[in-house]
Amino acid sequence: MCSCMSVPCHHCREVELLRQFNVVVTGVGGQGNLLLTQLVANSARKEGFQVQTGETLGMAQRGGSVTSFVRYGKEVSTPIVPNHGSHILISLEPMEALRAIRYVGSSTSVLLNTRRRVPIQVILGEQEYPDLRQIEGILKSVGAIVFSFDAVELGERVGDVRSANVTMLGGMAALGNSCIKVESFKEALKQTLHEKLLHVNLQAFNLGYDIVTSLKSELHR
Amino acid sequence: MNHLEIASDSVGRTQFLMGNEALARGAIEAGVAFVTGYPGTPSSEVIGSLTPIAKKLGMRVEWAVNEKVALELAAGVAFTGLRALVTMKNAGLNVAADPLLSIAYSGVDGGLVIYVADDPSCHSGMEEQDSRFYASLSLLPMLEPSNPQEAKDAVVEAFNLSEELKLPIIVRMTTRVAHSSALVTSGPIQRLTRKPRFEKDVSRHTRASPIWCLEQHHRLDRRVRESTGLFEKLPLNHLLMNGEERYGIVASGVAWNYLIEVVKEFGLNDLALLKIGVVNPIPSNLIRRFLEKKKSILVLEELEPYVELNVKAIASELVDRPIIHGKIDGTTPRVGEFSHETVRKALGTLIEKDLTYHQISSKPIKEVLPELPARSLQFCPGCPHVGTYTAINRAINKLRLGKEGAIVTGDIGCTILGMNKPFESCWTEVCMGASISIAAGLKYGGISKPIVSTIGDSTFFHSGLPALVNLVLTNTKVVVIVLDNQITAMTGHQPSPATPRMSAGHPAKTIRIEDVAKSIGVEFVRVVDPFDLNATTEAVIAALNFNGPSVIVSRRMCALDARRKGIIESLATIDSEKCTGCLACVRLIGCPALVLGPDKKIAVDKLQCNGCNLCAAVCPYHAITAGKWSY
Repeated sequence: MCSCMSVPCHHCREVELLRQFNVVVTGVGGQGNLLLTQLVANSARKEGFQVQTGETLGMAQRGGSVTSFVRYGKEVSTPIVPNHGSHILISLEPMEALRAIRYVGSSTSVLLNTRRRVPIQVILGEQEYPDLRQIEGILKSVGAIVFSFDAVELGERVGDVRSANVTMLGGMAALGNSCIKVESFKEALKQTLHEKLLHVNLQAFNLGYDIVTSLKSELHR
Repeated sequence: MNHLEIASDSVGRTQFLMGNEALARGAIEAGVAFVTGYPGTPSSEVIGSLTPIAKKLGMRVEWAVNEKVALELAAGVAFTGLRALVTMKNAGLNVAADPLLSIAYSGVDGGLVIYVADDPSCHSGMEEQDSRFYASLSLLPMLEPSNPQEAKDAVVEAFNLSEELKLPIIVRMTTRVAHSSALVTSGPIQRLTRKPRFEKDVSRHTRASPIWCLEQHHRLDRRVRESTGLFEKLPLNHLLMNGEERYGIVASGVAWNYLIEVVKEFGLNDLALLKIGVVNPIPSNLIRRFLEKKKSILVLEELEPYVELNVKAIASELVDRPIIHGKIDGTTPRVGEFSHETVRKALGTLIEKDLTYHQISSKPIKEVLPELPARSLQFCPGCPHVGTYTAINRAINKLRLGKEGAIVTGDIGCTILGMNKPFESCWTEVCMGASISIAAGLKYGGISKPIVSTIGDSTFFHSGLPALVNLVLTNTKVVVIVLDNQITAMTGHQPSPATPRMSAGHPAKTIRIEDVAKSIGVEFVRVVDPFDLNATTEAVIAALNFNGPSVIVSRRMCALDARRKGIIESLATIDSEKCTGCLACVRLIGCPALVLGPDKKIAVDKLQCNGCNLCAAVCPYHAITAGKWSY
């Protein structure tokens, strides 16, 4: 069932134990948060899991903070992730990871897009944007493992910055702890995206996969 | 979700549906003939998902001008013996409350289901209204599903019950059900071929005779009371592990879902659990049996203590009364939505066990977390409202009225975002259409400052129009600016009466706001393009100088709609030689597409820019070349 089947899988046992795997997607409205949520959900469905998602719509496109949830496993009763209970937090914007810190705990891997969306009062010098190292430090202090990369730059590399969110999906696949096979992620991309956009997004997925794979190996060194 | 799939004929097929889509599927299965409503988060996706397939299904689906009209339309259809569904958000039910109470007295022949979506935690920025009390107020039956599958099943059930009892039935959900997606198993689609009939029966369909009216009240009360047993048996009510346990938990809505997870997580198998999915008539026999021999009871429900008050009333009839914990004794909060933590804490109090999560870090997170700059909601890049609010601020400036020298009353929808930085224009937001009447009230009260009301096109037609009539009637000097982006944008681009297009295959006539204003006697009416800052500013100044009510229609298509229609030809560009980094553009229009480059000069985020000309228009150094729309 799990992409890390070859070794004794700690994570599969965890899904078994907790009955569900919890993913939180956070960012700023307009960053493709909802599509990413849908992609994670569709990937999990490919594995035959029970899946629930929870979103807050309506003001998602007006530059506000947006957090959505995907939970899957043998049995899921509510789409809301308990405090400190995320297994993966995907943050499409660095500061938003801190705003979602209540979902972060010792089982959390954070995928952090380092590209900032700076609010107006910061541009005007009225407030300060926290330093990236500080953001990472706080996430680690509550027990998370943090994988940071510039997803927008990866999107630029494949020729469409809008695919930055899909690089994060590739990153999630590379973590190898989600009990979702890499092929299932790709199948979900094919099923969810328009044919015209598929090629670019598969490239973006691979770039995200590669960068998190190399970040992981650095971690183990 | 593929829109055709939702109407699939195969039975027992599972689909991944949002609560609102599941509710729409329920309407299809129930053979509904007519669906209407007014957009409002988190209810809008029911009509949104039915619109593209309405024609294929032979269903009439359309947005109404407001919720009151919507409910009346649906009731009219139900009077003819056909099935009708009407959808709205919590505040919408207040607008529809007048026909709701009246139609409850008449009853219906065809099934009538009223869907209302509440929003604990104010995700969409409205009051945390608990619409369950409308069941008490109208006496009408109300069902509360707690997941998408239940939503689908409840609607089918509601239509059957509505016809059996000849009464409208309310289905209430909250954001976390309406906007949660899960697997839903389909049932058979009923193909109803009914001939419409409407017979004259004034003793049922009119209210003016007290004798008839009282008889209608009797009939309504009797029908609901006598159906208690019927409702009690619905699977929406659900009893788990009822034995000789001392502790019992009664839960409803999403609180039930959290409860189930917490109980399983901690292996709390010695608890008796009762789910209440019927809000009215409350399953009192079931509750009475559940309460017997219990030591203490915890009631879990979001918002107000609706179930709790009922449980307390039933408990008061028992000889051995259990202690009831809930909102009244402060065990659970009244404000904000529930979470696993709310339930863990309350349950822990009940069974005297610590069920809370213990963090591993040495310091509490609050101590290490820096103050995070807030992200207040902003106008989208290229939003025409940016031009209108910039012009309002310019006009106030030019007339030397001072920073708070003029009052701007705001209204519901995207237009209220003018309250945020950098405009900080709007002073008030009350409810649909209130910008105009609140402004008039301020004038009546004796406020001498000039007052401008800002209102969107859809909001204007929804409830602003009667307020404008009142303004003309009393010749009250208020500048009404209708920010006409020709669509209901905030809730997801539903058509408004100002939208130039067809609605679900039925011809929709575009109604021009300036024609409406002139026809009711407004003497100052101007139509401006908010991308033309100078002309818009001039119009606002002229209106402020006009002695009487005035209307400015500031008309340009919503930028997101423009993007979708592919009419954006070019984006804004910045000449970094000329840009001095003075930030005037950010300070004046605050566009999210204007970002600070490493050289402290402004750059355009191509991903976000929608090619308007407003940054170019306000740049004092002419460093920006405007974007362009083809229309």
